Amino acid sequence: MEKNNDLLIVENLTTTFNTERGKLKAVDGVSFNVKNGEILGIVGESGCGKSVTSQSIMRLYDEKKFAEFKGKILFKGESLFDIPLPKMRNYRGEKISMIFQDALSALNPVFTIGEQIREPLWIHHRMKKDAAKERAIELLTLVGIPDPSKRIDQYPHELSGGMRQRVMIAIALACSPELLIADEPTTALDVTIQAQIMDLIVELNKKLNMGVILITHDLAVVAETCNRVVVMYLGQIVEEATVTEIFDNPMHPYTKGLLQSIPRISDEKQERLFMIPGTVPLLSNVPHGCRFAERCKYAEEACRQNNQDLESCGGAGHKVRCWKAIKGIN
Amino acid sequence: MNNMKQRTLTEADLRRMVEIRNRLTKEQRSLQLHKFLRNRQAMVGLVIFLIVLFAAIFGPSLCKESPVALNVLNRLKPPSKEHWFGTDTLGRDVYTRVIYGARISMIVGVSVGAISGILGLIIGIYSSYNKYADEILMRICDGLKAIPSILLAITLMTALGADIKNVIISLTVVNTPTMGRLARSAALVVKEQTYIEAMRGIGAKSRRILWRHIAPNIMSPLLVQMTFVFATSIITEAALSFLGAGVPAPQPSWGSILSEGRTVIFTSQWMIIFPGAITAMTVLGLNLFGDGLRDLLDPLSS
Repeated sequence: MEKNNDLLIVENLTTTFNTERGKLKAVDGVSFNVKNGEILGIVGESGCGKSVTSQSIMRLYDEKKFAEFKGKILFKGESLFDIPLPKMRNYRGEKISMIFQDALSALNPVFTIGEQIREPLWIHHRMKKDAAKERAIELLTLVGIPDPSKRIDQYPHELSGGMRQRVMIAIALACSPELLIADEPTTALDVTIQAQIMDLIVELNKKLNMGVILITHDLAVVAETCNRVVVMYLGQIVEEATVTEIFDNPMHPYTKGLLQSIPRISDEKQERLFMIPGTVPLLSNVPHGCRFAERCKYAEEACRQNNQDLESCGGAGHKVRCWKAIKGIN
Repeated sequence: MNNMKQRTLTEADLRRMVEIRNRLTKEQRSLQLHKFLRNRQAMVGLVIFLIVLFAAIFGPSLCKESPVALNVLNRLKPPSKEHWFGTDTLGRDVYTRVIYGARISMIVGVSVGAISGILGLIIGIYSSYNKYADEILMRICDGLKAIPSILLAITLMTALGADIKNVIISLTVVNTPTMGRLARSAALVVKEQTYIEAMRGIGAKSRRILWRHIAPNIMSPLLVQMTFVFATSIITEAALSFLGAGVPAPQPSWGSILSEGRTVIFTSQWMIIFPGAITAMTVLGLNLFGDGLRDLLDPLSS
């Protein structure tokens, strides 16, 4: 029963890049699942492997030379790594869609937005121009663009950033995908537009009952939209829990640090904003033992010796990768 | 409640904003056209080019005489009412020959510009996409570019034989590597853009991405370069004909007229001055037009 409900299962995903400086493991043994109609948040600092995870699901890397995938990705029970590339291509945009980080450059400047929305409809359904135009207008209405019949003849540079992101969402939704991967969909937008776009994604998630993977570094966005959260650090998942669990009972020091770094208006005393010391280490120089140990204020010698596995702890479905948290110390 | 209120407000506002924006885009477009029309250099270049093109197309009906009609009694006559540009060593009307020569220049220029542009586009796009194609095609281009272009053209002409068709072939071979490299570098930039990745994300095949999405984005630098190739191939054709390796003898070409005038340069300068000046003007005009086109299509590059 539980299994049937899973839209996407990622098991032990490892993505390795062959670079001039040797092999780099950008994603190292990541496992999570997305249920039908669920919004899963993936959080972490820049360089934690969030985007690589999402693009690995789409198999958007050059597998012949550049990237190596290990592990398993099951989409509705079908292993995505085992199907031939042409079939994978049919899945992209049709069953699994993606919204890219930078809406301002994710639209082709030489085509009108109408032509660009028609693109997936033509690729996957060979839809004729008139029907596709109707569908484009319908989609633009769905994503809340006023006056869509006029808008479809405009070029991307004539639209504002928020509008362009809405168009991107419309393109992603064109073939009614079952899974939408939103890779930091609001980074290039200002706060009010961000809120509108997030509302839109939540609304569409409910209306169309599609699974959503929301990749972000903004915990406030996660709090408002997601059902469950996966926290990533340096290519590994360090904590996984429901949104309420994460905010009420964060266990991993990294998650705690992230939560403490959110500025609070209610604080009367003006204290300096908390920040996690240091930066994410380079992939070419992954520390031995716990990957967060160097920046963790609770770290001991034992942390540097061996890396804890992700283990269930606390509430239902709450998993954490920190032996101290599991044993209840600190 | 609050949210609702906000939404109706923004929608009404948006409609107005759309109106204003539409007006602004229209204005901007007319402004851009205006800017191009006001760009005096580009306009002068365009006018010169159009005059030469007009002469090339309607030349035969503008001239009473045949460009190859001999009139030995009238040889080396200075410019007069009957012969505006004078007559040459065999008594042929230089004006008529220059007009007919414009034909050759235009045919060569247009064909070489267009063919090398298209070939360059194909080469550039495939070498930006495929590493092996890149290595092979670019090494061939490097090899061709290592030989000075006029020498290469002369060699090819000698091998192929003097004929206008062969002039076009050899000049295309000379100019295609430049076009190919330009297209490749532009395509490499476009290929890394998010919108190309987004196209892969919606399941587009490589061929579709290459031709429908990358190609139109690299057209503007190619178009500009095509005007320059047009100009250089006019010069090179003239040079080839001057050296006797271009268009064969009785047919008038600007280069061959100059070549014939070379021997009498101290007594009958008109044989050199007129075709020389017109060649220079045409090339200058094309270059000015190309510069203006670049400013219009690619305002950031200058």
